[in-house]
Amino acid sequence: MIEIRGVSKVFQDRKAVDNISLTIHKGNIFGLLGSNGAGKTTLLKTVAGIYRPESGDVRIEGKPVFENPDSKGRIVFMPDFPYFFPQASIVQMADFYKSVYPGWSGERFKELGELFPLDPKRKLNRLSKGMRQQAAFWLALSCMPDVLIMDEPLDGLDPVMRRQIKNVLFQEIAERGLTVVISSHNLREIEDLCDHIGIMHGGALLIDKELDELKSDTHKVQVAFRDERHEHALTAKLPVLHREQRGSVFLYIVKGDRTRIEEYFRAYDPYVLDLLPLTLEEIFIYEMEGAGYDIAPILL
Amino acid sequence: MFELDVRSRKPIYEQLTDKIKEMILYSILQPDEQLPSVRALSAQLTVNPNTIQKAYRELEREGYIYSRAGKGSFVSPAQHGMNAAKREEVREGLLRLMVEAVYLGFTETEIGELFKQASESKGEGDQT
Repeated sequence: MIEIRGVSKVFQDRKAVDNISLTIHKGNIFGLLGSNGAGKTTLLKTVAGIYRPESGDVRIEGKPVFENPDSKGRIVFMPDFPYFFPQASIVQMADFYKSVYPGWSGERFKELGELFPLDPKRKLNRLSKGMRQQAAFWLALSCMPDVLIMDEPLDGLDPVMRRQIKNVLFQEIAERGLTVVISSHNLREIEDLCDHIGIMHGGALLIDKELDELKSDTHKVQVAFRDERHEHALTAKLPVLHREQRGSVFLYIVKGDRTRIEEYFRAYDPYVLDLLPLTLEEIFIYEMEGAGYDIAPILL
Repeated sequence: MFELDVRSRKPIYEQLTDKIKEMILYSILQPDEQLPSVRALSAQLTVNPNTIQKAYRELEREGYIYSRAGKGSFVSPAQHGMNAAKREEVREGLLRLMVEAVYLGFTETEIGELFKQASESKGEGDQT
């Protein structure tokens, strides 16, 4: 379990992370989303024990992370651009990780070698971006971490390799209870992968919820009323996040229980009524809109 | 065994529970048959094991399956409640179509014909 309590991190006079509290349970995959510069990477690096927070603390299984080799030996952090020593090959990097991580498993390294079509003796700086990303996964998973923190990890990978890596992660979770924290802008990817979601904006955490709950809690309603006056009567009663009118069809984003919302609308016997669950992308955009960060309707 | 639509708006755990319920109702999964383990299904579908766990828990809560410690999950013997839920679902679906049919000017005889046709085709299905 990762406990983040009241963490703030300041760079010069800018608060990159502003008083965030969050609990991530063992065996979960937590997806961290957010606008550019929201502080995702800063939060991840604080969780990994790379940054010392100005206030608050991060604990893993009850123990502080920062400057605690015991905890850090069980965490692997994968930055957005994997770093390897200049001129090093995978085997050489493996030797380095072996000397640092007490949980390193040579057996696991060999097993995973079957999965990645890489030559472990080749120099890493001769490999493509995607191949380096694969190498980073290979090394990270061989460390047998309890917590794997990844900053935009799947970007350079081809679809086959993505699936492959997802499968490996799922197995690690089912078998060993690995905890994964992942940040990404690729919402489709996150949607298939994560079970919990956090959305950040301007250093603050706007949402922290189970993905299925988030999806079943927000609905897109398309409705054509018999009488336009019904519109006002209804929207006053419901928590509407977003409202749009296209001709006689109204589009709402409403929070709340599905059956209850449907009853409300049905009561007015509309011509058309359609309730759809939202995609993660829609949830993200509407939440951001609520936080004052939206698409400007300007044609350039 | 399952085909999930990851592009669908429907949450994956809901797709899973619906699929398994359907398979139980149509006896594709027999009573007391063992369901694949969370691990196996996760690997097969590339779906988060926590999601599968959640779907199994939900199915167990609703009485479609039962689990034995250390053995796995199994299909519950057929229950009256399951049929009632399915009947209610079909009733709602029929009603919705029926309203459309009435708008389009279907007569009672025409709808009666359809019912007859459906029960005949079921009769044929039973013989083969």
